[in-house]
Amino acid sequence: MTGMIKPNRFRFWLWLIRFVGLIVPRRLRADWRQEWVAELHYREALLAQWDKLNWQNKLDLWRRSFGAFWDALLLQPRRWEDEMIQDIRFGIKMLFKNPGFSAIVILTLAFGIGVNTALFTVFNALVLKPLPLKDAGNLFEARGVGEPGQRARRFSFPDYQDYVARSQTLVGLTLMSEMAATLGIEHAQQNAATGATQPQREDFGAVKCQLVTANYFHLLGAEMALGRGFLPEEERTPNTHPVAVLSHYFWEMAFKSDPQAIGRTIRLAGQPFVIVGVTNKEFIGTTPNRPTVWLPLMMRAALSQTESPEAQSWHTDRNLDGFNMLGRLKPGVTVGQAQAELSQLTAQLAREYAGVRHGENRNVAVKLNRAPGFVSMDDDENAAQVFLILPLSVVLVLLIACANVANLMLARAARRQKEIATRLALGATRWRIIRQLLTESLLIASAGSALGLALAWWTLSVLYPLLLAQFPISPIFRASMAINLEPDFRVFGFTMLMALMAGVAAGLAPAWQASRPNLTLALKGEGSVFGQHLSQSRLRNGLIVLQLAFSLILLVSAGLLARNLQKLQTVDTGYETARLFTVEADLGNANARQTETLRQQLEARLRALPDVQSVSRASRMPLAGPVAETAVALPGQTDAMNLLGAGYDIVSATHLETLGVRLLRGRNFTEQEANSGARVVVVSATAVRKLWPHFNDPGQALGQSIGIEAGQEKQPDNAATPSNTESVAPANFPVYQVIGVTRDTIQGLVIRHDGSFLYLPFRPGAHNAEQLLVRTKTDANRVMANLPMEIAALNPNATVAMKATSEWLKAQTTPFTIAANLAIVLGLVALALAVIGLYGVMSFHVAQRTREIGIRVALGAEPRGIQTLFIKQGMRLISLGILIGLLGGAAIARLLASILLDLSPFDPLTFGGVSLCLILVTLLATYLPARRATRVDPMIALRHD
Amino acid sequence: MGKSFLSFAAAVILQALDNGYQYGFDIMDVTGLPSGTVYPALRRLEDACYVRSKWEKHSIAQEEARPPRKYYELTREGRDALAEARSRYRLLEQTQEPKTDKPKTSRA
Repeated sequence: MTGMIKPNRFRFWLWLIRFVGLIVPRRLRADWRQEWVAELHYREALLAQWDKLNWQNKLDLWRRSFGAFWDALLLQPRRWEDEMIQDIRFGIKMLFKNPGFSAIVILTLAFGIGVNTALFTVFNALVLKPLPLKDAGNLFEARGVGEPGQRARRFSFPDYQDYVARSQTLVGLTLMSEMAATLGIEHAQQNAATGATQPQREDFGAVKCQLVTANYFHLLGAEMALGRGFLPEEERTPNTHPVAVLSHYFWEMAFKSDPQAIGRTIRLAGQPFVIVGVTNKEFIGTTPNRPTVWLPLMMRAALSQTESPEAQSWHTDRNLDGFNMLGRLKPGVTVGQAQAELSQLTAQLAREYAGVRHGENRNVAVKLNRAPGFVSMDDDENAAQVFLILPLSVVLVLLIACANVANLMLARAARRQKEIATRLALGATRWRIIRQLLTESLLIASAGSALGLALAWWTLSVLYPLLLAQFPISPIFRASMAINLEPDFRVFGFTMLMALMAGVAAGLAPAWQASRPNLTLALKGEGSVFGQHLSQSRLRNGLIVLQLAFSLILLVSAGLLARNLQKLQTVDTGYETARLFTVEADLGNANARQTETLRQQLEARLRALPDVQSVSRASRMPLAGPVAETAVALPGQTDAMNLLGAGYDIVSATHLETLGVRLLRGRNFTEQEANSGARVVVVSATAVRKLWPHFNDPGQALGQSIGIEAGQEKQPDNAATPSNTESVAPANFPVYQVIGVTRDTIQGLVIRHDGSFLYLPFRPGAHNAEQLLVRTKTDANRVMANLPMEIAALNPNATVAMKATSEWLKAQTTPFTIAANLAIVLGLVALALAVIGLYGVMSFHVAQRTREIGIRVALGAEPRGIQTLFIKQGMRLISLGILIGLLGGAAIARLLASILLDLSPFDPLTFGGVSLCLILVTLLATYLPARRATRVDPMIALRHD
Repeated sequence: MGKSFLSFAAAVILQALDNGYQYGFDIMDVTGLPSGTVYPALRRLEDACYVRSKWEKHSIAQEEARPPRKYYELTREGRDALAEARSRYRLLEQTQEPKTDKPKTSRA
């Protein structure tokens, strides 16, 4: 075959191969071309040998050489693989070459990413993670949709029954309601001396009970560790099946995981319930704080605090619509279909029971929310705003970390200028250099994020129990709060995303800058003389300004929170909380009369104790959450919309004395007045000011009449009771006469208090003042320790809850303590990063201008003048950073406004103090490099390379 | 390419190599597969160690005044994989004949 093909003849297919070969990765290109050329040669030679090299076959040859294109295309990933591995290998080498630098940037990013991951882990656990329920995907929470402008209602039991009977799209629906009740159990204890068994009471205080329909466990797919769930017959008639299913953690805690617990009795609100089951450890219900026990919905009345008819009629009254509803879709049914059906049923029910329902407030449709995580954010916009500050802060910390790392990378790139210039000079493309530098920063970010993830995990597993322990809550409540903070794929994904963003954020600008050096200068090592890199230093300055601004924002919020905490801790509640506690003894609603007797006995018993100074009755515990509010009407006021609201409590005559609230004017009501139902009221000074703004002296209020809505023979209900407030015209409010004015007190939330408060007399029998308030002469704990035994002696069936009032106060301040401490830590770390960054940049400037300084000095510049030069430069950065920071701080402070106590979000002391602190620290960071500049020896500097 | 599951195209290519066709265009001819399939498949088979490639000795190529050729041949793993594939694709062996020096291209 030799000589048959002339090598210099133009053959289109060979030319095509050469052309296509251009896209083949360089490493493979020569081989690839040779192989294809040889193939085509061979074929051509064969065809020529067979004498078939006609134009048809030539065309075929040409056509086939197109296959080379596909071949080349499929080799493309190898190019990336190759270069990527090259980049990564080189990047790792660079990391190890500079271990100090690597450690600093990795740690910086690890911190920034760590705090973000930690926060996201909590957010994930509370909001994103689906409930650990079987097939959570087709479980839905039903929510009412009200008429436009009206509040949405939840669901009533009769409605629920109708939905169940008429719905075609659902496997099932369950109805739930939550209530708090005092819980006690009896342990049989062997007496060592006599051998006889004696019952030993153990009280757990108030716990969370969830009342559910019988299908609840089955519908949610809960499995039982012991015993069974509820039976259908336990849902048929009210108050006939006192059975309970225990939560796994409570069984562990109270029964030490004893399998014999089934069949034993617990007492809730004084009522006996037989344990029929214990849930599996994995089953935690549908709320973040797990219920302690589950009870059949039909036992609801037993737990009700009040004896009102509502408590008994909940299962027949369509207006008592305070229940939550959860449903499971049938396979193949879409949410939309189920939603449409339930909405249609809602409309149908509204028509059928138009006469039964009260007026304007009713659902017009039903919306199904995929039962996602625990928390659905709604309602309280203020709270949402306050919580917004958390993600903002941690993102700021990450941005500061990124800016810091970017600056460090810039400095390093400047040192590597020679290397980069050499690469460029040898023919590396700019894109290739950028990719190399980006790979390095991504490597750093990945290492940082891996460390950050570990850091977040570790901090959470240590910190979360520690934080929980800060709250003065009962062990059982603490156990119920355990949320699953295990990182899952979402957390990993989030961290990876963070690493990617941080890597690009920290590496892109330096890479961009570094990849366009002035080759000649850089190779001669003169790149950094006489301000050749103005744009580069502009970038560095910009990064520093941002860092300073961001850290100032964080410091402002930390300062505000710290100032606020200080105010909270020193707030004057108007009475001493140290030796004050409340007791609640309960025998259950069915035994209301006995309970009342027990309370009276207990009150007398407590009075007789030598350590007790004073005892009173009240309908609520001071400082335990928001106060109950009532509308107050002045005589002649008929407009229901413009009534004044005031906090109130229904108390016995000794209450002011027990609480220790000073009377400013007038007198307190007497026990006789209270017992006879006299309509007299003691009001706070602020209430007077609000009701009668024109009075100069609170004493003028004495003898005035006011209508008080809460004065009706209606009970202060607890929050879990279905809402059913039938409004009464203001003219029909019971009229009370003001007989005394007290100083202002804080009875509810410290941060939301407004001071107006009414003390209404408690009439035994008419109102349920469940709480006994006790002031002791000595340590309250000693009295509290012996009390359960005293109560058991009075009535062995009673369940007891006790709480020191100071603990309620502490419970209110703890979140602020934690928030302030976190903010301070974040702020200080941010400040430290920014200051280190500033110091680095200033040092860099000084180093860069060494020769210039030398010349200046040689020409007769004073050291002082040179120092001023650099300090001025630093001040420019600092003042710009502070300006931006203050603006940002003001924006973020507004988010905090709703939780600030008597503190403007633009508190000048905070803003001024924080700025001053920043100025001092940053001045120091510029002073040190500036001083170094004055020590430049012109002789050495001019010889400087 | 999974170790135990060869696509039919890959199995056909292995069969062709087994029949003595060790050259890309020969394989295309005997299998009727387009070059855009054969080459990438060969590269994948090579990655999976079913096939190994060999450059022809330079001296031979020089003698014939052409670029050196790249030949492909089956490895032991490739032989095993082919045996396994034959049991799944019963007609595999009947799809082609062993190599002779006759022109095969039907497009000729």
